Amino acid sequence: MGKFIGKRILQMIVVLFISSIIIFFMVRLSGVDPISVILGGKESSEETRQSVIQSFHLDKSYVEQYFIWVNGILHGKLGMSFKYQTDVSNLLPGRLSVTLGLVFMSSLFALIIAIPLGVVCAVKKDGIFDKALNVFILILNGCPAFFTSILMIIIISKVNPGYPFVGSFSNVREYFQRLLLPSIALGFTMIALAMRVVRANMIEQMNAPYTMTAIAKGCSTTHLVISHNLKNAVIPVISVVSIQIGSMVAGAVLVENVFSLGGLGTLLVNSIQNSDYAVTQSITMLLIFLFLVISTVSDILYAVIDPRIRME
Amino acid sequence: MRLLRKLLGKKKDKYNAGRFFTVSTTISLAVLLIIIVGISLAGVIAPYDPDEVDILNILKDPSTKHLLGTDKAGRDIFSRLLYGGRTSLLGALGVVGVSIVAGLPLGLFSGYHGGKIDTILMRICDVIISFPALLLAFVFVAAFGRSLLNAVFALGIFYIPMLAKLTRSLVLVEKGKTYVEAAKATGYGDFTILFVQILPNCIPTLLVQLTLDVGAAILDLAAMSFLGLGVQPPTSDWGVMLEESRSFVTSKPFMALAPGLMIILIVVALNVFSDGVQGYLDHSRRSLPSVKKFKKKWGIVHE
Repeated sequence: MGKFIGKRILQMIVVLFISSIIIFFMVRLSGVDPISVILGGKESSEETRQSVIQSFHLDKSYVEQYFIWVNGILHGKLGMSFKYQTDVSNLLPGRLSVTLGLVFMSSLFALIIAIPLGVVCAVKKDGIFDKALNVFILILNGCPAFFTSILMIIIISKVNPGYPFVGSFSNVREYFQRLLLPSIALGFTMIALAMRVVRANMIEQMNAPYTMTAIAKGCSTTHLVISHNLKNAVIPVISVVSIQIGSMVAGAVLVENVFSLGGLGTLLVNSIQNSDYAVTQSITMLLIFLFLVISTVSDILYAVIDPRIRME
Repeated sequence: MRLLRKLLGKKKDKYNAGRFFTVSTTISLAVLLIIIVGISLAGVIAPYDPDEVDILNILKDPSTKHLLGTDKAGRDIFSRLLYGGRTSLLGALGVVGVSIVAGLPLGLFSGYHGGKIDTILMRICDVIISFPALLLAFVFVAAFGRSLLNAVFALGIFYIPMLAKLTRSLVLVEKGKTYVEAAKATGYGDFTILFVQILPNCIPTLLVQLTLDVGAAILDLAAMSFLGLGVQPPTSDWGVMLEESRSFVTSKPFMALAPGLMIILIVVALNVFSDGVQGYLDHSRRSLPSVKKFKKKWGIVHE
């Protein structure tokens, strides 16, 4: 087990290192002059130019700049933003909590909905409920998260015109209130996938020989479905959900945008539009890091639950 | 309820077994054809120029003059929808095209030759696949600038690994078959065997996947245009139209609903169609028609 965890973490570090190189040099391909971005395109004296070049290490070669950046990251500094003139790590605290909260709440919401529905669909296979939900999933698959959000805003503003879509994050209650709708909108994309997996696995488990044995022994249907079949059927859902969380990080960017939540996504898109590369590279690295941590943790979790994985 | 049961009932499956034109395939194909004809004839059908600004008629509700109303610059939404569909669909086809040009040869080569190169290529593919394509496309666009062409290239590149892996797995299956051995014995070169013998046998399955990819590409491109990283306004595109509608979501829902529902419609139609074709190609899902039907059709079964 220790060897497996070590291997996974080592893999993660290698991928992080390679992606940091790719991202750093790709962002610099754009050919935009950083000095003009930092100075906001204003006419400035040679002295200010020199001081900017000094403080942003622009006189050094790209390779040196890369090592300065990586060294900074290891010391908790993500690099100076061109636009905000402050270290990127100072921009993060509030934004990180929004994005993480969004991804976490929407996954939770999706699982709470998807698992029971998937089980019901499997038990009543080919029934009306199953077929109707199948159609629903089909539509969900074609519905981008940002359009779901827009639809929700349209519907809720018709039903309850006074609903507060905007507001602050001053306390916990407001935080949850503001994140509730975006999480549901984002969760919908995951529901479709998770439900399919639960349904397919449940059907497989219900046809397994051990189910027959349990029935022969006189096990009640409810007990059989919940404590025998579901237990086995849920394991693969973990890996599917962990893969899906990656695309949810990207989806969160869109949903944040619609609900004008100031999250990491909004910061990333704005930085691309403003050519603020220090922010672009750091936020992308951070998102990739988050994504890798989530998938590594779920891989390890998967191995803990299912010993067969460790053997590979 | 009875009607619903009839529509969704089990009988449908048996009736459709082994047929290409099942109910769902036919409907989805019809929807796709209507959309494609509509947007390719946009110049004829559209009542207005999609970029024509009409300050006197801004944010109008749907009427006989403007079928779906007008937007904040007085442009006719229906016309923009038709022309926007052109951008969205061509963009998505471009994404898939890029992935074919690179992914197909890569997968064929990797699967056919095997060995170290195969292992390394597939490892790289695995790593790229594990990241969300949209996020990588953002970085690409940050590097090369915001435009439709760059968005198409960015997404296309990150669609390559999936196609390459699928092609490789298909080649691995085909490679072991007798006809390949026969071709080798006849003295065909590797190139001919790969492209003339093996590739045609992989095409049906690949087409199913590519249809799905077009749907996914439409969604991803719309997302990028929505964030302002893909198609740049004033060009009409479904993603851009959704973005433009955002400030008027509560007062003019039509502006958002029209492009949004079109995206859903085309993607769902593509998915259903691809699912239907897959069902047709999958031999295990095919079965002989029921005895009743045999009797009715050929009268060969006598009791």
